Amino acid sequence: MTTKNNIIDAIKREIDSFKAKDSFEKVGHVEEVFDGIVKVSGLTTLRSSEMVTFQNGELGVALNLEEDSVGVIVLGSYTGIQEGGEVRATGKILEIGVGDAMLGRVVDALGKAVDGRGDLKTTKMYPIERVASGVIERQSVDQPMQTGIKAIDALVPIGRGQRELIIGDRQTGKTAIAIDTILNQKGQNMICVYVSIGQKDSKLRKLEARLRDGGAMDYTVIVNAGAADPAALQYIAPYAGVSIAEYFMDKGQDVLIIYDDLSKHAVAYREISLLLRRPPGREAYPGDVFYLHSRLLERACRRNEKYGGGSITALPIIETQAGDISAYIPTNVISITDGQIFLETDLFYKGVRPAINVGFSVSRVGGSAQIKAMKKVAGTLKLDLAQFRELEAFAQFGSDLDDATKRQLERGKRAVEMLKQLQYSPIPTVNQVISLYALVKGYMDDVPVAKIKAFEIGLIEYAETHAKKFIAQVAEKKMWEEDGEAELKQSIEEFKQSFN
Amino acid sequence: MKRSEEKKIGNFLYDTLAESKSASEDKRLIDAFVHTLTNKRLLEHADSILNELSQTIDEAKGIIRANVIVAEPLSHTAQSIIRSALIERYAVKDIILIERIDSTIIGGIKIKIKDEVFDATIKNRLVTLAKKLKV
Repeated sequence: MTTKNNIIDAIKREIDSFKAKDSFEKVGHVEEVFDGIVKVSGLTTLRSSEMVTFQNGELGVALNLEEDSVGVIVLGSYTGIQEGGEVRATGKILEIGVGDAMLGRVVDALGKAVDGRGDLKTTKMYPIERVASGVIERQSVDQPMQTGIKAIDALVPIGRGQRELIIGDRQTGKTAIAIDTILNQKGQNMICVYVSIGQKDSKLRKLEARLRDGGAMDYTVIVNAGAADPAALQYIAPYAGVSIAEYFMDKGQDVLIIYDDLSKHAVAYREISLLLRRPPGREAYPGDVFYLHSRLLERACRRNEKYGGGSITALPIIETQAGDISAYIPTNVISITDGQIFLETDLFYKGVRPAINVGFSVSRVGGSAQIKAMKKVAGTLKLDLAQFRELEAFAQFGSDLDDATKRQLERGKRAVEMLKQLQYSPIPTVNQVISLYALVKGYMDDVPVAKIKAFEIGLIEYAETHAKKFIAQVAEKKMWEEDGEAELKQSIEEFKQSFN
Repeated sequence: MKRSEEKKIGNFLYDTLAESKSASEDKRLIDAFVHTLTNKRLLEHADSILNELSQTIDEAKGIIRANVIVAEPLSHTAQSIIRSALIERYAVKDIILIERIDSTIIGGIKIKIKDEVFDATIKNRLVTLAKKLKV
């Protein structure tokens, strides 16, 4: 009884303290509605990208300010918006609520929870469009972002604050790399934001379940603008995602953001632009499609200590058509990012998974973020693989080759075999260093190619108990010392004897 | 036809008539205008075009229109208070109050001028209160 009275009292107090504010509001009228675009008359003082509200409660954003009307995109359903209906300006630039409560949740492009786990309590409002950190606030990339994928960590290393593009045809494992990377961030002091743009909701559902199983949702936020959502929401989703990332960066944390994928984002923006009657350019994309992605990816950065530290690492994904990386959007994004991971269908069906083409993949800044031990072994590996690619064409001549060439071919085959890795099985950096060490120092040269995987797994298990000094040195000092190296060499030899 | 287009036509008519010098020229211009409307099959919009025209004329004279929505008819004193307050706010010579009775607003007053709305109705306050209690 008392609790009931308490609640009633609380409501009474709320109502007593309530003061209605009556003020003049700017109101415009709907002139026409078509395909998610609304032309509004009146609202003479509206600013660019200001939020407006419609009679049916949906939000809109002013994109085109014309002489006597405003072109507004509707962020939601446009059914129920009538001609002549009232449109109210809010005086605010489009913003979303952000907060720690978002971790482990799936939200839409406006930051509202869509996972059926109840309402989201956010603590701050962040504008969706924000100018990226300037030169003064930045610092060069110097800390590694471990993906747990050998081929990436060794050959195309990614640093915290870097923008690395994942590019490839459909069904080549682009999303798989992103998911593995998120799974590997457990205990790495990293927040992850996964932005899904124009993807099937069933795919996202599966992905979320996978992350939850792997315990990765504790540090992950998923922003979803699915294939069924209007183009306007797909257009703002990555900006909303990076705003959430910036909230965590502002608290000094390292954030990883994945945009899956920016090709669909560009398509959504093309749709909006054409409907707004902006002139089409190459492939019918509007003139500012480069700026669309450059201003988004520029928001990835590594802040220096003076400005609170923290970083945003961006992994945009681009889907190519039949391996054509010279199309408009792929070339744009390649030139904006600090490198790319190039995935190939041929490799995928040959069984090289992850299907990374190490020849075309580069990382322009990640090298300086690699730990010293990894740099040491990866340098030799790169050389081995480059020589292997050069000689691969001669491989069919078999016995006619000289010994040195044969040796290089055999080493190359083993390197390719070793870089293969199953999905959802990220490997810790120290273990990567051990297997790469064994490879580049030639310990695997006499192991049959078919047995390389088994050898690698066995070796890591053996080294965990027999090369503790090496492991401790690499984990703490990021580089082995002489005694550690000797210990590892000895344990590899011991293991090899038991393996055969 | 869009409202902005009606307004444009109204403004155009106003500008042409303002430039004419004699009554006979006025008549010729109006005849030509009606003729064009008939030809372009726009006669059904004539009312709203004329409405826009009279608004433009009023604005040029320093008179604006205010749509006032109330639950019960306004008294004369209330009308004059509202008028003088609005004249001061918009710095105009006169205001035409167009009163409309709408009982769904429960009480209070709603004034629409140009693209501004002043909403001091009980209904609006209740809606705001409902929103506040929801959070």
